[in-house]
Amino acid sequence: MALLTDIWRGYRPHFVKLAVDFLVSATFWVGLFLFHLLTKLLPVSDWAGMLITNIHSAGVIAGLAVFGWLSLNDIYQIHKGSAPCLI
Amino acid sequence: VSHLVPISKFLRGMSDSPRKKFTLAWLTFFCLACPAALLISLGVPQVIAISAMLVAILPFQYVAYSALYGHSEPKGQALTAPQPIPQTQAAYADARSFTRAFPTQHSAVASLRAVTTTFASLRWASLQRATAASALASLRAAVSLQTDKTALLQATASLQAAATSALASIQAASGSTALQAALASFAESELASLRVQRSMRDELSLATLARATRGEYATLFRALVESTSLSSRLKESMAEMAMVAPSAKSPAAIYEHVERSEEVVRVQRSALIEARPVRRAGQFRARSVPRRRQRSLVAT
Repeated sequence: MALLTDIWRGYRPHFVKLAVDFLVSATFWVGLFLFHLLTKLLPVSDWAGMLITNIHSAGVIAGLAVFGWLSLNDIYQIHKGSAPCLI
Repeated sequence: VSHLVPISKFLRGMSDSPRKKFTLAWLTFFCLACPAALLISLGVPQVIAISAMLVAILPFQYVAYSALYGHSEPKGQALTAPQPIPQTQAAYADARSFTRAFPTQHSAVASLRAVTTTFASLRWASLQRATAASALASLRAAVSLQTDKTALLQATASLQAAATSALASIQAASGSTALQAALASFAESELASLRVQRSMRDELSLATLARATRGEYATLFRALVESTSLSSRLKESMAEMAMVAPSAKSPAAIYEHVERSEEVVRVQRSALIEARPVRRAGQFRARSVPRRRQRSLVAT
């Protein structure tokens, strides 16, 4: 139990930061999912439908890129020792 | 470019604030992902559009962060060495994290802060009271000083009035012709008396000198005359003794000769004593008179 506590104590800042970053990126995916539901209710064809599809694709990739860059930044700041714990 | 914040501050801000993360992430989505999808829809290859979007994420977020949150930073500190976070802001951030982590302890800290604030307000009130007390004391001193000053001013005014009247009377007296004439005659008479005193003193000193000099000369002349007559009589006595001595046979005659010689010596002594200059009481001594003055007196 003490080992788990120590592991948690050491991993907790990273976990908190990564959780925040994931939630930020997850809002992208949640928004894209809601937009996908809207396009299913209101089907769009031709060039506009392709644009919506491309927005979904670019949004997913952008969410992943934002999550990666924010996670790397948080890990760098934690190892730098200047990022306070938010919880 | 001058409004860009330091990169370290941008990275720290992005790591510390979830709100900034969320805002910049959705801004990236609307400003980069949507244009990239539009470009792909317009016929741009997906590889180029997605690569450009991924490359532009970090610069875009940096520029957006500087545009949104760079105004809160001082302008002079942009693109320079990162300034240390002020202690109050750091304490505030620590307090926020502490509040979230330990709410019970935060209440104690809040109560302590309230007590500290109360103490500060009490200290300020005591300072104000001390200031008011000192002001009141100074006001009382000023009032007493004003009272003293009033008396002093009255005395000064009376003194000034007296001085003014005295000056006016002096001016009136000095301006009157009779007083000026009396003053002029008084000055003339004073000068005349001084001249008279000086001439009288000179005459008295001259008379004293003349009398003393005359008496000493007379005494010396008389002594000289007497000494001359005494020497002639001594010569005559010696001649008589030389004539009488061979004829003297008896001791009585010898004694008579001796007695005669003693009488001669006695006479000489008395003559010398009489010839010595004797200074009488009140007689001026001629030696104390300067030689130049003596010469002038002799010339007169």
